[in-house]
Amino acid sequence: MNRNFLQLDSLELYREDHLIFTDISFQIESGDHMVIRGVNGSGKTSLIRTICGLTQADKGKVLWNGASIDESLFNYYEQLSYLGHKNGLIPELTLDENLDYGIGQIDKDGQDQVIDGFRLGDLRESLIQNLSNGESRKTALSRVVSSKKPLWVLDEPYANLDSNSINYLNNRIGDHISTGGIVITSTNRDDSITTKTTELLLGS
Amino acid sequence: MNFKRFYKYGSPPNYFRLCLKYENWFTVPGCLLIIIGCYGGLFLAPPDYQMGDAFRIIYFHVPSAYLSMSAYAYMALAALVGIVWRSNVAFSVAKSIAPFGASFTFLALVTGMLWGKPMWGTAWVWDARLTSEFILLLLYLGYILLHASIREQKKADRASSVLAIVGVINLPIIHYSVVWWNTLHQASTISKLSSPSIAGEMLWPLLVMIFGYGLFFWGVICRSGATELLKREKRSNWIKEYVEEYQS
Amino acid sequence: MNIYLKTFVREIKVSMKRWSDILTGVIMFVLVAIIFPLTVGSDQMFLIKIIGPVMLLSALLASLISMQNIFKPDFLNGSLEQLALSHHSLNGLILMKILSYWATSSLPLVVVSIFIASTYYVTGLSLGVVVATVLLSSTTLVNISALAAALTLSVRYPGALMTLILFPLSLPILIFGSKAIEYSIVGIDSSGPFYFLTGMMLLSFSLGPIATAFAIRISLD
Repeated sequence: MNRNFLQLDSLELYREDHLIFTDISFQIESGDHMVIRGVNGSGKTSLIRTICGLTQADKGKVLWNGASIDESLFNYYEQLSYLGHKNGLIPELTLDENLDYGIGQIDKDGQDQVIDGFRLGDLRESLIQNLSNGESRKTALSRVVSSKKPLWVLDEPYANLDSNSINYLNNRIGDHISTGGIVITSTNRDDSITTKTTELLLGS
Repeated sequence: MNFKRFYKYGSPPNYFRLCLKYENWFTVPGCLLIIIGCYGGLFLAPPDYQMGDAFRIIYFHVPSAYLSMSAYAYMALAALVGIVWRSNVAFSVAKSIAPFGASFTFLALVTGMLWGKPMWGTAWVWDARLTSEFILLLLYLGYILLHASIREQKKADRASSVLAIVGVINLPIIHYSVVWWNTLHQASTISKLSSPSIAGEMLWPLLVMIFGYGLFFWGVICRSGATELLKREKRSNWIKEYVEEYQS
Repeated sequence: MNIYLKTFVREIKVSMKRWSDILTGVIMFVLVAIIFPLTVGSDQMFLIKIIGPVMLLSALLASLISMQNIFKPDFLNGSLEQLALSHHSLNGLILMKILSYWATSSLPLVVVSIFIASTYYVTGLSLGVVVATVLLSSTTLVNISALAAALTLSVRYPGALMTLILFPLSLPILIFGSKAIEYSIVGIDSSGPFYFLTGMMLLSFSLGPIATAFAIRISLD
């Protein structure tokens, strides 16, 4: 993978007259795993959505490889894989059908490996609406974590996961950043994350 | 023509000062023209041979109707500018035009009905003009309600602007459909290309009223637009500076 | 397989699973249409005169009832966000969603309209005209509904607001659609209204998905 870098430049966001975050500036590059830490309501999801270009910041810019994402949104999205607060899965379809839709570039074998890694192999033909919260979350994670795109942005990926899955996720993230990818995750917990290279604290 | 001179009025502080400075230059002449037009129309113009004195409502109906339609066009233009250039000034103007445009549309409908009673015997007739005005009222209300229903200011501005633009594109289509569907409304008394079919003494008060309404409208939009702009820019530095300047 | 084709097929699959939503629209269509003979009068002369407006009105109310189903479920489960963040054109993806929505919600209406129209004493060529009109007007109605749904995605209880947005924009379709049917029943050449309906269909399919996609990005903000 090429060397990429992501820059946040003085981001500021207000929502309904409340200040969510201000003066957020950061730079991360290939091999970085940035953890956005903050208590519930500190603006982690808003910041993540701003990084992804879903939310427009009131001030400041997000730059990918030096270019503002506003100018070349599709270019940016070719490199971005996102897991939001919601899973992005259609409940009426099966796990396989959801993952096969693959809006991103799918690597069939890689994806099979990830599904097995998350212990979802038996649930391939089950409808998403019949899975538990944790299983759905793992399915959604599989989509991102098997993606070949360099930038992974995950909003609270560790929530609802059992310890095996957390370990597996850490492994996948570790593999990704060692091959030149960039990962951004958010968490509301205090415990340390093994793959973390840099941290951003919100809500101070 | 040097457009750069106009660009600077797109910036909020300049627009704000411009509005406050020139507001009275619009409202006062506007009111004056309306008074003159009223006098000319209600007292000086001779009664129409067909309708008697009832025709005088034309001096309120026609300016309201013209204004309601042109206001929608201005609103859609401001909406377009707001979306393309992400301009708070444009969004403020669009938002402030909406209630006034809706009021003028309502006035046009009411005066139209008042005119209709002596003319056709019934208050409401399903003709092209009145029906189009009613649909225009619905379009305005859609904009206002959509804006009010979305809590987030920026989102509300942008969503209702999309609605305004779609509305203005559909407006000629809607109007044409309603016209095609059959009309009894009298032929337009003023048309740009042919000479008007009403007498001179009846015409000048009408033109005066139209200008008066227009000027008054822009004066009101100055103040209303400035207020809307304040709501959107309340955290900016220029407001703090302005307040300090004002207090000293 | 091409991502757009994949999207179309996926949406059709999902709509089939949500068959109760489709049924709601069809039932609304039928109920509105049979209210007239039941309450006003089942005289043949009368019914054959009002079939045009009744068909269009029923189609409008059916789209109103099922309008939220285009985007709301996907907005709530996060898949709409994923579409917006894909490197594919959102305009194209939304066009596929609208097309599949049209296929699953309007084609049943077209079939049902044949039966309803026969109960209104419409026969022969006019029956064909009724079907063609419902088919053509539903294309535009679907685009307008999609736009209204996209604009009101972030509003919690959009009911009356959607009606308010939908009604003025769909008025031309209502007028020309009912006139097309009326003319054919009376025996006048109805090609004029049909040209208009076709024109509106082309206009709405070319501008609709673009405006709808833009509105979706605004609502996702």
